[in-house]
Amino acid sequence: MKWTEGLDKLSIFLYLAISLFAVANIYSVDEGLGKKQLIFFCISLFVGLIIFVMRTKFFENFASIIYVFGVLLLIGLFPFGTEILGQKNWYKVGGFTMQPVEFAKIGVALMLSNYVSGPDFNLKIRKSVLTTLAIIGIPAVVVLIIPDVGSLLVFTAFFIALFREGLNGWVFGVGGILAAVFLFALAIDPLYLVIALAVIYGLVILLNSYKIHWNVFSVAGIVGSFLLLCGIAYGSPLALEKMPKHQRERIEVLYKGEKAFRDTSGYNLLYSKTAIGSGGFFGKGYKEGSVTQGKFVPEQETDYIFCTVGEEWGFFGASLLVIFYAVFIGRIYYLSEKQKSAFNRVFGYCFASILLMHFAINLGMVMGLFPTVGIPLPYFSYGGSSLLAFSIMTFIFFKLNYTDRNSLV
Amino acid sequence: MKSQYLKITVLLSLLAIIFIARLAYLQLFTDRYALNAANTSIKTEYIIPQRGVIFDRNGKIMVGNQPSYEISFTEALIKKDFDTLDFCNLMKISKQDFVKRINAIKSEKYYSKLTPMTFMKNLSREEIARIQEIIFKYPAFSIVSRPQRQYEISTSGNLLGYTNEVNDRDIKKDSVYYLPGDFIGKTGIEKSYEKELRGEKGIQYIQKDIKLRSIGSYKNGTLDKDVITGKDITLTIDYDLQRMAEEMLVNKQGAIVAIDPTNGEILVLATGPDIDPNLFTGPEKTKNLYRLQMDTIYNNRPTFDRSVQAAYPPGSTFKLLTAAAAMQMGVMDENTIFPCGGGFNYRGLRVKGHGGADPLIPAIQVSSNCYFSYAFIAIMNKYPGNPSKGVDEWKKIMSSFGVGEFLNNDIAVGSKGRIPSGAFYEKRSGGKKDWSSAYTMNGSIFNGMGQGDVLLTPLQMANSVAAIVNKGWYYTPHIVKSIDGKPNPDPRFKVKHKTLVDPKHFGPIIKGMEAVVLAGTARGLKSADFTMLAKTGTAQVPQGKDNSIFVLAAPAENPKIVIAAVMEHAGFGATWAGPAAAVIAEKYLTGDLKREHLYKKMVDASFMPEYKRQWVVELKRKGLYKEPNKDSLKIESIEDSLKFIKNDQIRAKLIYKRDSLRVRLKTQTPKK
Repeated sequence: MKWTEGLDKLSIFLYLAISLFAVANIYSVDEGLGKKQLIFFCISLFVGLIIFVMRTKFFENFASIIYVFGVLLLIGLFPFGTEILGQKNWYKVGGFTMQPVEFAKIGVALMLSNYVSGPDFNLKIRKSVLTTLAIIGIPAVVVLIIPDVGSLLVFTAFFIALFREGLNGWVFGVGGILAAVFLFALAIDPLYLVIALAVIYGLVILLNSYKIHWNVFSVAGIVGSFLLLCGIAYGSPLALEKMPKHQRERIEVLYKGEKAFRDTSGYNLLYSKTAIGSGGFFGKGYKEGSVTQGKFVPEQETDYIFCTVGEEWGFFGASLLVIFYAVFIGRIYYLSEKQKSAFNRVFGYCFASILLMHFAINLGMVMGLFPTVGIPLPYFSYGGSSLLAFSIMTFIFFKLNYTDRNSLV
Repeated sequence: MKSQYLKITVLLSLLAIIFIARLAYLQLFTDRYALNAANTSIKTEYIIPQRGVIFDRNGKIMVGNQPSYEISFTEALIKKDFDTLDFCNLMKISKQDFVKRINAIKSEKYYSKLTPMTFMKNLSREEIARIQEIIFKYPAFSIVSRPQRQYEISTSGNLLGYTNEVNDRDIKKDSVYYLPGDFIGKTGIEKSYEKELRGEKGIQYIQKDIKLRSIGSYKNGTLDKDVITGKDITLTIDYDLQRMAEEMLVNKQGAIVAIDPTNGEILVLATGPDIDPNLFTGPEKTKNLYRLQMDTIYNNRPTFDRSVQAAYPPGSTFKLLTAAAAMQMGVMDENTIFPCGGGFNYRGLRVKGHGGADPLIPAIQVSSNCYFSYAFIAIMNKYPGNPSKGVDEWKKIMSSFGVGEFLNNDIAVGSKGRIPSGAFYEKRSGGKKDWSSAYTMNGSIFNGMGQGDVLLTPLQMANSVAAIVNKGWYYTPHIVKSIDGKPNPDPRFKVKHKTLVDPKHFGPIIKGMEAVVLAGTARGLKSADFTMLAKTGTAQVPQGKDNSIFVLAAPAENPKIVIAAVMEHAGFGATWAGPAAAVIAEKYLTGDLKREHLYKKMVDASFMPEYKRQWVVELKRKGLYKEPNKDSLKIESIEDSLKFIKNDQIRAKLIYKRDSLRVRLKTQTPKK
């Protein structure tokens, strides 16, 4: 058997392709940063190599230690962190900066995989549920206090992994309904929303009347949930009023159009759309994007790097990149599903889901489909800690996959 | 496969499809963002070309260029720590002035934060030298150099015209080329040859970054356009002659036009009063333009180019055309004799005769009003009972001489003049088809001698004479000889226009013109150095003294120059317009001026008193007249006499008296 047998060529190819394409795009924005990113990439490959020669069981065995280390790094932000761009979620040592939350995610993923694949995990047992929630919740609370909304959203990725392991899909359904009501109430008059909700409730009850056992609990549940939704409907505009101005505008800009907030929150959105929208089908050409080269989009090399792709590589390049990401993430889900070991599978799902959340939120934000939330595009945004953290996760997964394919069990 | 896996995969695919659809919308199905990108990240910079130089036919520069400096203001570039007072000191303006200027810029129609707007215009080279060293401190302000016209001569303002900033109408006409702030020729040659003179603006697309700094050219300059300098234009005008003509028109209202009959080139196109084109440049430009527009006192109107815009009754000079038309229509020939012995008596109208019954040539020689009244009656009576038909036939022949119609040439302004039609008189006679009984009543009879209802511009007069001396053809008179060294390519000036008169009829007319010089009304202007053909004209006008008109062609055998001169309210044609025309012909043909006295007489003559008198009469008629102050009249007369008195003692006395009168006038005038 050849030693390359357990290597998944498609995912390795996509990892390399995306990362190198990223270097090229960062280089287009800023040559100095492009060179640095290339160095980060080389470091990442080197770290990846080390991971590959390590013992596979290391990650399973040391999961809890890595997890605790990650959480401590996060907590250490409060005394030792440095504030960059309004968020105190960076460490600064000498000339280097790093974001511990990127590494904390690895710890959570490993810890969660370890616990979920363990023998005493059962979602029907309260203790199991609480332990699982604690593993995710402790770092999540720290992130919430910082506050780092973007990373907090990424933590929902772990619920996708849990969903695979038997978590009821209704968790997402309820979450989705609450979010939808909240957002709709901002767009339309809450009264209409309440009327619409009443109609939907009526229809659902009528169609399912034979299933419902009418008693105090079911009636209380129906009435209670309806009142809760009404409360959200009327409360969300008020909640919006109470939000800090910049956060409120980030949501409002999606409804009112970026022109209304041209000089404030809408500016980023307007110019990121301008950069992408001016790309046309084949783009303006490498290093020819006038919006990119003019540095009109702030954070162009980090969170908004996709603008450069859109402008210089056009619809062709940008949609190809979207497809690359989708195939890559899909491939990891696929490989995870095929793992013999439960630890590997859960870790793979965590990893793929983290990528999915980053991918969805970042592109959604850049293209004006999602409120502005500052999180990087995996492998693509400039930044050593982000690239290194994602690469470590990637190589851990590759290593797990490699061992799994070569194991005889 | 677990169902959760499938659900997640479906979610992932859905997400990818949504993103690709969104990309397609942004990049392929709306151009909103592409436009925004072009508007903000790419700046278009224009390089203003130098306007073409204008030369006279001998290569003398008439109009050139000089740099003119402006200070532009771009609001987006203003720094937070901008020190208004410091800047005002640099520019030597007050703070109020600064605020006023900025507010004026902001209220402009095409104002934008990102575009440089003109803050201050027409700065001198010295001022710029001073400002240049310090202005870098204020990135919102920058120096812009814009070539401005420089006039090497101080006459012919109407002919040359001026340039000025485009207005909304200009932009609407050619919105592809002109942008606010661009200059365009507004009158004269600057207007009619705008396309050639202006050149083509250069365009540079420059990539700007968010702070509006240039970061290089866009697409490596592949879309840029090179600036093309304006083409140089050589006029057909001979400036030496033109200047002479203009000097002879000082203190007069009128025009002198000279044409080379062999090719239609206009040698002289002078109008009085003239404009000094230097008024069109410099910081006082706008004020000067306004003043010129408003200068109507004594009917001065300097912007009215009398050489092409004023339609005058041509007087007796028109008799030449009457003769040509009458012979072509077959109602007379050179031997026809009209009963002019005792003068002209026709249905109660009496016109003084010239003391003999003669054929055509002597009739031209002595300029017989009687003869040409009969000739025009013959034209009107060609079709008995239908005078309109005769008049229309006459009008058609006249049109073939380029009168009564626009000449369609390269001069920016012009007048049709007037040749009345049959319908014109039918209407005047109350709609009668046969208005032959009303010849004297409706004035049609006077057309034969160039009074009545015919009106010609001086250029038309000259051109019609060119057609006569050429025996039946002319080239459209034009003003531009060559563009960038190549002959004027305009096809309009290469067509030989044939008149409707048979060449054989011109012989006797030319002989008549020769007789005018040898022994007729213009015999006083005979020259020993060259032969001439001429015709005098003294046109009666209702306002006052007659207009003095003269047409001339020389040399007689093979005319090289045709001249028409008109002096408003000057008197006899041979006395005033005649010498002016003769002097120009002499200078052109011999290269010298022997009859200096004629020239001097013309230069010194002033018809201003007559214009003033008419002006006062006109004001009185309108009830607007107010007696001038006695003192100011005295001052005026003292100033008049100061012009002639050379004796220093008397001068000193007069100046003292004038100044004391001035002081008195000042103290007397009630203050408002």
